[in-house]
Amino acid sequence: MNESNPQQLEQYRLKLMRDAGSGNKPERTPNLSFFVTWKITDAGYKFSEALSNYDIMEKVVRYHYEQYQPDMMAEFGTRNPYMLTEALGSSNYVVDDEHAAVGYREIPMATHEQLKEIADNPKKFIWEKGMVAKFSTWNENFTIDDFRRIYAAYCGFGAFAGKMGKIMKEEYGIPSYTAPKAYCYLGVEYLFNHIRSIKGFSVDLRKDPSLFQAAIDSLQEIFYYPSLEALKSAPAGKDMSYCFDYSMDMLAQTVMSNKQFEQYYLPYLEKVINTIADKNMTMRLFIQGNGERFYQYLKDYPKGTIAIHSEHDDLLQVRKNLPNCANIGGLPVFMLGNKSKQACLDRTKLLIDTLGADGGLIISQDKQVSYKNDCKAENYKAVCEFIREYTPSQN
Amino acid sequence: MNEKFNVLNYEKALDILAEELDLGYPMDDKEKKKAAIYSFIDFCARQ
Repeated sequence: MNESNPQQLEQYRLKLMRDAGSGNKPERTPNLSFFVTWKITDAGYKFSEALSNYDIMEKVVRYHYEQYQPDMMAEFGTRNPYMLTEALGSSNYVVDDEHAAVGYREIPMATHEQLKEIADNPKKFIWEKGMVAKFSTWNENFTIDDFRRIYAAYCGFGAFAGKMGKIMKEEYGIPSYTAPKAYCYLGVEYLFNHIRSIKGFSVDLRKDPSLFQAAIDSLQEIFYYPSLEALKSAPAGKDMSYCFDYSMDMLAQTVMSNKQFEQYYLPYLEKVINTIADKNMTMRLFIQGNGERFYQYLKDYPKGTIAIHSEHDDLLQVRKNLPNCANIGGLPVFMLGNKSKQACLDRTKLLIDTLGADGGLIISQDKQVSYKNDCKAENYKAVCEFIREYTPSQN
Repeated sequence: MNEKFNVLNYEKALDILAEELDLGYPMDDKEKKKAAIYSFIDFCARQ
């Protein structure tokens, strides 16, 4: 493999990711960068500069790859569509250059009492009331020209995303993560993440379960069912143009009991995973929070169906309990940001020698690496070099 | 279209936008165009 040939490099990395993600033994363990806004300060820019200038963000993303050369990057500078929300008059993002932090202000779109309106017509509610709650300019004075202006910002964001995907693939041999739209968003996640926020969602679950059920059922119509139908009609088998055939993030389950999970979450999640299994595809499943109590629901899927990206769980325990699933993660930001270079290297070697010995391991971070103190650059650089050079055959 | 545009009226606003907005690519089917515009707003709402 010629490392200076991006096409060959991309194919090599795709095979590493596909082999590992399917639970098989790759030529060596692949390295997935889960770095987002940390990249900005690492490249020498302020958050306010990079988030409001695509040319600077491009330099940030290029710098990250050129410094560390991971096999795959989960993000190409598009985590925060800051310019779009600014065009809408949003104050959602709190950019703090002094402390090198970007925060996100949770703004619930609805009250508990408005769940009935969501259940009746979620699209109408989001358009007429949810957008008003979130964006100051979305009011009766908003003109068609205003709409054109925000649509132009949206197109600009899309064009940047497309440009970066092309650059990373064609210049650096970084493969694409998944096919476009190869992800699913459950109604319950929509309600939790965007409409009610953690506090309101927790109230809704207990205050009026039938209304809660009606609201999430309606929200499935916006995203979940169209995505599921697209998945069902996709060709069977693994698409070797991408690292994964599908990707889902789980977060709302962190505030649900197992009984609630079984009622409101599992039936919809199962439809997706069953389809993935039937089609012999592989999905990345990011389980945020403690995943241990959910292992029972994942243990019977065929090997090669699920690559679990764990936030809190010890990967060795995940493997012990779910030998049918591949593992993503292993290098927590706490370690990258606070431990010595040698400790990070020891951890990486342990991961490769144990979980990676028979394959099924993609080394990555436990959460999106966002803030300056999440990681020491020298730690990550050393880890990336080690992963590229070390193979289990050297044990 | 002479009807006054009020973005807070979902059905009418979407109907007017489907007539007036240039998506940047050809889209003759009005219902599909409405779906594309809604998808854009859904993306905004999730930010």
